[in-house]
Amino acid sequence: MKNKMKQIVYGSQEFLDRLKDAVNKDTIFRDLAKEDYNANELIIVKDLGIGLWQRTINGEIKDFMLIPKKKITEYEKQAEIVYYIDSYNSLVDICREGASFIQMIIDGQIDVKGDMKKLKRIQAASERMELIMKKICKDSLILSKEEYIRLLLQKNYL
Amino acid sequence: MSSDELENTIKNFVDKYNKNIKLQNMLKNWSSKVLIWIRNINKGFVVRIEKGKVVEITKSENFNEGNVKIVGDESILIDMFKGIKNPSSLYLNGVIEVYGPERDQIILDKIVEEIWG
Repeated sequence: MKNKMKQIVYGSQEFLDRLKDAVNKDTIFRDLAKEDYNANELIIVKDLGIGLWQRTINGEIKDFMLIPKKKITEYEKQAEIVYYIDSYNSLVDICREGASFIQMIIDGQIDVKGDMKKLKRIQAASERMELIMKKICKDSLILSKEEYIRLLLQKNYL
Repeated sequence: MSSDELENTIKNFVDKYNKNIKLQNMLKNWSSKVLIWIRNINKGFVVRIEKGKVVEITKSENFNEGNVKIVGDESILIDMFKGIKNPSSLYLNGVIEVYGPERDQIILDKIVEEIWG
């Protein structure tokens, strides 16, 4: 049995830091993203009101951070592409093998707004990033919604 | 209407699409009306999709039809639906225009990627 204390919690700032490092070290991602991937993106988890902010310049993720509920509007204004995910449970679904971000857009769990030309330019690299994320998910602890809310409250994101 | 070649090309493309099991499974919750508008003659075709399947292709002279619109010159649209020209490049370079909800645009991209690779 894995020791829960040593696992990174999916959706925590530590998880985002690990994902950022892994993506920035991934040569396939960097090749796909070079020059084309310049974007400010925000994922908003609608039922919790929090967000995940990603700032990428020339294919390198510079910032990847959890955004507290009270700052969402400020970041929403700065984002060029916003992904509205209906719930924490859908955010967890992205981790599942067989699930995909694009399928969730098709099925309406994720709504996308923003610069479509930019979205097309970053699509291939984004799909690579999703694959890397799924690998990290396997070693991560996925909390129930109630547990995740408690964690967000402890860290003042809610 | 001088667009028999485009109509046939769209029908061939739709045939591939309707027979693609992966796309049919992926898009079973998608219904939409796509207007393919020929800019140089101001006419086009409406492709109606119900639960992922194309059920009707009709001629149109009304630019207001369709909740998603693909606009381009006839020869470009023919090359695009034949898989000779890449739709993403055409869009990014301003050769074609696409209007409509982001979700539909993303779905159209996925269809093209799946059919032409």
